[in-house]
Amino acid sequence: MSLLGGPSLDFHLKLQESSFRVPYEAIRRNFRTIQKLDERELKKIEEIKKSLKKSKTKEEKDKVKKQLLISLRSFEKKLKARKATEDELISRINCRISKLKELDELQKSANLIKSSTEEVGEITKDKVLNWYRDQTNLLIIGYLLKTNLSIDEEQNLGLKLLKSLKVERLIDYDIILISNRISNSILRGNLTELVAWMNENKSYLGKIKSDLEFQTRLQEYIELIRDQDMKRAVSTFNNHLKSFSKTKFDEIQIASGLLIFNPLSIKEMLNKHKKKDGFKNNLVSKTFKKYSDLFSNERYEYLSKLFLQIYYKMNGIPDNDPLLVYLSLGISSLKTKACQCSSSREILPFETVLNAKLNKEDIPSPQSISKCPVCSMEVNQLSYELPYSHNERSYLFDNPVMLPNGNIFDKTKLLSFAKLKHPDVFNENKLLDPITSEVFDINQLVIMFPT
Amino acid sequence: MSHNQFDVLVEEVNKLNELNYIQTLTDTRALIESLEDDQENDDDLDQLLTNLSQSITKDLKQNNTKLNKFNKNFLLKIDLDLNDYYRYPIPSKNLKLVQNIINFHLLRIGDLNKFDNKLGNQLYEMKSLKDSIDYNHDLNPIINWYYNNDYKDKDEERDLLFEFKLHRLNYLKLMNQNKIKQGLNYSRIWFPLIIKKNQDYLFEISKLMGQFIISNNEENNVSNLDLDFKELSILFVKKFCQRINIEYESFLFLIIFAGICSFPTFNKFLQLKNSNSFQWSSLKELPFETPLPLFLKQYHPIFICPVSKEEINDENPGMSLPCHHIISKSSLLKLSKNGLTNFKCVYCSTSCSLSDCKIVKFYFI
Repeated sequence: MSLLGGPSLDFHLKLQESSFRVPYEAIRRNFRTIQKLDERELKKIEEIKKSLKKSKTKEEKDKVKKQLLISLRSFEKKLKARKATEDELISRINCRISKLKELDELQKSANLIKSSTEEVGEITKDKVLNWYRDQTNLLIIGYLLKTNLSIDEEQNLGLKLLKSLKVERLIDYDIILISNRISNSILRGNLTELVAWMNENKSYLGKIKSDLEFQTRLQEYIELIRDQDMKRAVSTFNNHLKSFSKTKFDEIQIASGLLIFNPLSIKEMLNKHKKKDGFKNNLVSKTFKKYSDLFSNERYEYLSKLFLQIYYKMNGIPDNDPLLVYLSLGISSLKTKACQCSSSREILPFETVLNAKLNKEDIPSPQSISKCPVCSMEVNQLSYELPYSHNERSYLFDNPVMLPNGNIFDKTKLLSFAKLKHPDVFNENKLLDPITSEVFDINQLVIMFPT
Repeated sequence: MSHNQFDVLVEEVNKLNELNYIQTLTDTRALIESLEDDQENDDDLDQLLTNLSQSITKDLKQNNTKLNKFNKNFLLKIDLDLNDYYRYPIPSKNLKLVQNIINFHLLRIGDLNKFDNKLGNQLYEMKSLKDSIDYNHDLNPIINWYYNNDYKDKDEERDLLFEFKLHRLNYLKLMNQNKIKQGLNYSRIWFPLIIKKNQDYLFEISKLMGQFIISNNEENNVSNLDLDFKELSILFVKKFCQRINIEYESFLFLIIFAGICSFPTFNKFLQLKNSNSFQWSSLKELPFETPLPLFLKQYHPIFICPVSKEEINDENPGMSLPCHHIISKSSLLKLSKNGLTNFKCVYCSTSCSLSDCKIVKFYFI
């Protein structure tokens, strides 16, 4: 256990696995490209060697050499670019290591200073907390990058925060932005970018046997039917869908049915059956619903989700966002039986909560005294569904004293409370209950022995 | 403290850093230059081509090995599936709440979203005042703020300690800059005001003035104020937040920090229980204690009944016995057989009856 109870350095590595996994996967992919590039060049070298031997005249040889020079120049240029990509990715890993080293140094110096004065301790403690504040901001950036699907990339809140905090090397934002772009285009009903990406990553998709290719081709086919471009629809069906007939028979069957029913006629039929609304027609309308579902916009959402799942997995990005995982764990480990959580399901807009917070009355109440994150106005709805923490021992205060109303406080703080709030009214012998505002005599205090 | 995994990481990354594809690039360049010169004989050319082939193969093999080792020796060893820890998922209907919490945090950290409202403006002011300490070591804006702020009157008892630290540092800064006369003038204006409020500061202040007289060695004093400025910067932010009645720390930060701190305990538990066999996701209370730094345990008092070991709550409150020991209501009912009999306190054997006991509640101030 380190200062302030944070995890060890090695445990932090575990927590940040993905921040090393993501650049690693990118370096690996880059390596595979280099591998292809190299293999092509090796083949070419062999060919050139052969044709050099074969060629008799100087002209012939010069021609081969010229060819070689062109090929080498292009090879050099490509390899240099790939190497630059790799260097950049490695430098990201190095930055992440330096960030962790910072924590290591802080913890070391904190342990040295522990025995020293209180004031220096405060500052070191704040420095360690600052490191965790930075981590929190990184988690927020990661979350915002993924969830802020604004069409204009520059408007992405996560990207803005990333730039203003200058942490470009600590987050693989470029990799997330690519998936946002593709996901956005899918949601707008445009499959071009998705298909291009699938072509680039054919071998990976084949390896994991995903449903993505079939679903994308099916969607392409549906789009063509929607546009009533029957000729291309049939050719797409033959070229891309037919091969799935063994594994996806049901869906293929419905898809082929679309050649007869166009979207409009399906809608009409469905409406007709709805009006009749008889039990007998249930089967019929169910069948028609299968067809009409294919034209629904939800398919874009489904496809985008499917794509993101695969993209994240391929890149080593966790599918549950770490920010949400920490929120869930953090609230549970902080939540006590005394926390006031709201069961309301209505989610108020930010401005409303902010105004409520700004105008909260300045009267002492248990909530305003405790400043507990779990029962705070902005968190208490989220806390409602999460479990309580478990405690094996009591966490109280020194010198507990009880007032006649049964409320128990820290004696020193209770004595100074009244004087702090109403210095003119309260003399040495009077007390104010901070919760109920009742006034008591100092000799009514009872010393308690809770443990 | 040894960091096995961390050391492995550093070692493996150093290997990754080493001269990647350098041999291939060098040999390619050599070949290009030789072709450009057009001076080589056929054997030379053949040799250069062979060299390049060998370098390409060697570089590829080397890099492949390095990457495999990085994965095997480091990545696979720190493998941790976050999904295993997401037993209480945040329902998607609540993601808007998460966005609200993030917005509050963004407001707290300053310049990004300048929300046009009172709090936004106040926090903006706080940030610029803090900047004046952090970057310019200039305390005058803060002194101005301290005495002229709208919220001054609310702050009934002036924070004398804060005031003293502020003037002490400003005085030391002048002395450090060798502005002795100004410094002494400054001390004559402010320090008597503080002593007048609380004579306890007389000792501190005379110590401070004495230091100046005794140590005339300037170098000794100079450069030691960095820590003081940092401390004051923290104190100032705390003071500012207290005055505008908002929390010093962002709640989101505190929650995330608590999540990070408790993570190793969840990890240990998962390894013990072999995760799937034990469904802690169905429980209303975590099945184990997650140790947190003490300052995260200061929001609500927690009382564990010494008899039943249960945490008291509204349904099962703490009860004070006549001897001023405390047990939970359910334990009290059990011991007194629903109030039918007297019983002895588990601590001191005082004889108690249900009617002598009363409900208590703990509060932090």
